[in-house]
Amino acid sequence: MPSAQRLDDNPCRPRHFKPPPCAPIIADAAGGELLEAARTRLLLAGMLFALVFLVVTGRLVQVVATSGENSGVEARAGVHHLVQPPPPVRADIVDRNGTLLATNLDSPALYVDSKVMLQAGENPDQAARAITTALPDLSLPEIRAKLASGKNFAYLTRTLTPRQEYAVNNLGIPGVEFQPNEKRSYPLGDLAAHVIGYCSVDNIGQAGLERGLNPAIRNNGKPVMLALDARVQFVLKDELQQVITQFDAKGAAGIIMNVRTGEIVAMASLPDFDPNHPPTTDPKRETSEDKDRIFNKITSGEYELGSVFKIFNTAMALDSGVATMTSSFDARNPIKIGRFTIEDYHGKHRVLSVPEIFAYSSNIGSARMAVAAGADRQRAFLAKLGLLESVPIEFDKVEVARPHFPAIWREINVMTIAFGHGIAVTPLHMITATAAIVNGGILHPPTMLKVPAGTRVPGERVISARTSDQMRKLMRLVVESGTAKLAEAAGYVVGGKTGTAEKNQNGHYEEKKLLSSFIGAFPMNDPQYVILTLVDEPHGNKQSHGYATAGWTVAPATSRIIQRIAPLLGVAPQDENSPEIVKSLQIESLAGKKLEYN
Amino acid sequence: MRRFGGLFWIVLAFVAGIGNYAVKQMVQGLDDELNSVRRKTVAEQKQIHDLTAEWTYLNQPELLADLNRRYLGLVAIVPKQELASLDDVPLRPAPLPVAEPAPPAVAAAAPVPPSPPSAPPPAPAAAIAPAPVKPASPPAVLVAAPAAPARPKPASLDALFAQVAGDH
Repeated sequence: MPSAQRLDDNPCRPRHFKPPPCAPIIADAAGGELLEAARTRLLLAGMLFALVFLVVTGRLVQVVATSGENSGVEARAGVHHLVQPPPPVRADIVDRNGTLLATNLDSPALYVDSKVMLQAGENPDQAARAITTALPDLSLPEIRAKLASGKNFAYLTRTLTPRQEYAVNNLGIPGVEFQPNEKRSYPLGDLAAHVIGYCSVDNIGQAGLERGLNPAIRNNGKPVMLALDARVQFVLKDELQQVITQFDAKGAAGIIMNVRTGEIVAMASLPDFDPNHPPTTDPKRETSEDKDRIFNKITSGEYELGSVFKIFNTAMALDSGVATMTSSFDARNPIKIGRFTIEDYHGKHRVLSVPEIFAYSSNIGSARMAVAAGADRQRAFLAKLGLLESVPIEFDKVEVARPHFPAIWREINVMTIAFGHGIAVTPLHMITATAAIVNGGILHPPTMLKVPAGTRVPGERVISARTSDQMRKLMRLVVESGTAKLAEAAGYVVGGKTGTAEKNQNGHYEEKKLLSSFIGAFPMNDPQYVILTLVDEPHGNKQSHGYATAGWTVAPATSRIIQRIAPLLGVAPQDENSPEIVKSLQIESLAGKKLEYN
Repeated sequence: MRRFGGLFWIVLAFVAGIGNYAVKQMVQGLDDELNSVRRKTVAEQKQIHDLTAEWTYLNQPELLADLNRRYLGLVAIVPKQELASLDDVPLRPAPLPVAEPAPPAVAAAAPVPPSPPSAPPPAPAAAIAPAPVKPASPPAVLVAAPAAPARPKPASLDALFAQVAGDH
């Protein structure tokens, strides 16, 4: 014990002082080792605690610092539950100006949990009577049966209006519950029935674009903007309805297309239906009238459209160089081929020039022109215009008809196809191809969707710009002094072609059942829109002097339509007698000559 | 000093705890507020959506056409009435500062600096020229209107149309 001795040895210490033992006196080496081990353990324990605290701190820092969306910490903590609007079951459909065409409205379904109801001691008879008083459309025995069934789920009705919901809720019957549900609603009713189509109760598209665009509408919350203009659509429908009334017709259809973009700004097929209450599509209960209403004549109807096809025949002859504007063809005598005779409706019985054939709508002249071009050239030309396959468009393919044409292209077919018989296409084919003929020669695929301004629209050249220019002059001639004088709309330089076809029924043509159509474009010096109207089985009246031909039925309607829609579509009126317009549409070979037309 | 050190840490822990609690309460309160506002927004959006549907329903072109037939009798404009597109009409220029005192005659002319009423300038005429049938007249009407206050005010829309149509 050297240290204790040293204290004791201090010479300056008071005598009575005995220093207390201030440190444990470790007697031997074993005690020292024990102390050393304890220290080490203490240190280890300390380090362990430090480590745990470090981990906790680190985790805290991580939680606070990385408060990103994907850390998932907040969600579990239940703090940041932000209220989000529920995604719509189906996206809205709007027209090109944003007018709502189709949307979803809350419309809860009503169901009963009969077990709960019976357990609550409710009388099913009384409850059923109360419910049918609030909802008079439901049948009392059916409801009573459901209420008394003892099953824990039965729909009473699938859709309720807010007022009905309130009324039923007021009854306070236990076990009668609401199921949140959305119902597709079409605020504009039957305005564009065939374009929009309709949905089933389960919100699956059944017709029109609701069906054709079903995946896009279901998966994408953003509204689908159509090329359709609701105002133009109304004008088209209104005028077609007037044609039906005036001429006691079976139906009518019309379509208006932008020639530069292929956008369809209006499409109507009458008779139509209200998509809010679609006619039944159950094949067993469907009547022929229902079928007629659902049928979209524009995309599903195939028609032998008659003389309007002369547009393509003439364009083919001019573009291939078989004919020029000054060529002439013999139309003195009817053509007899096999058991058929090809005659002219307004026979001139002389040699006619190409513009005359077009303006007088000579079948004989057109047939001769087609024969001069030949079957192969005719077929190839029609194929190039897309007239031999279904039109690519946003509708479901069951609603887009494939054209009908002869498998073997004989001479008789060449002749009849020249004036639009023996080939059946949809009005959609007709307007798409005609747009290409007048717009400078570029075929654009039609589209129901709005094309944003400045988009490059796909297109394919089908005829030369020169042929297109000539065709514009010819179509203007038909309105100026041909079969479609009544289609003229002052200021809008209309051009077009009429077609009055006899309907082919069971293999023969019915003389009294006509399909009258007019296809026109305006303004003809720089076409912007092309319009096709057709009327099914019109009957002549006093005003039309007994005629039911296109020139008397749909041509005047087209004139009215153009006058009403041009200001809406931003087509500026022009002076058709101004020297530039007269010059741009004048046919040199006819200069000074006036066509006589009876 | 050692004693104060311990106290310091205890106080710090206490203050930090209270602070933490207060901040958490505040954040929760803000969260609740945010949620209630969002719920209201969603409800309002839904209402707007329903009202839009109703508005569209009430504005069916067919219905409007019928109301027009019964009460207004407006007809589609004819080319003679369509002189220029709405885009060709210049916007009203920004009003000049009020501080500028000026005689009444100058004040009347002042708000239309690009087109003084006395002489129709070539600029608007060029902008409007391509559309109308008679290129010279529309600027005269557009500009002359404020300069000729003596013209009788039309009693009805029909009268106004007749008046405008009569100008050409």
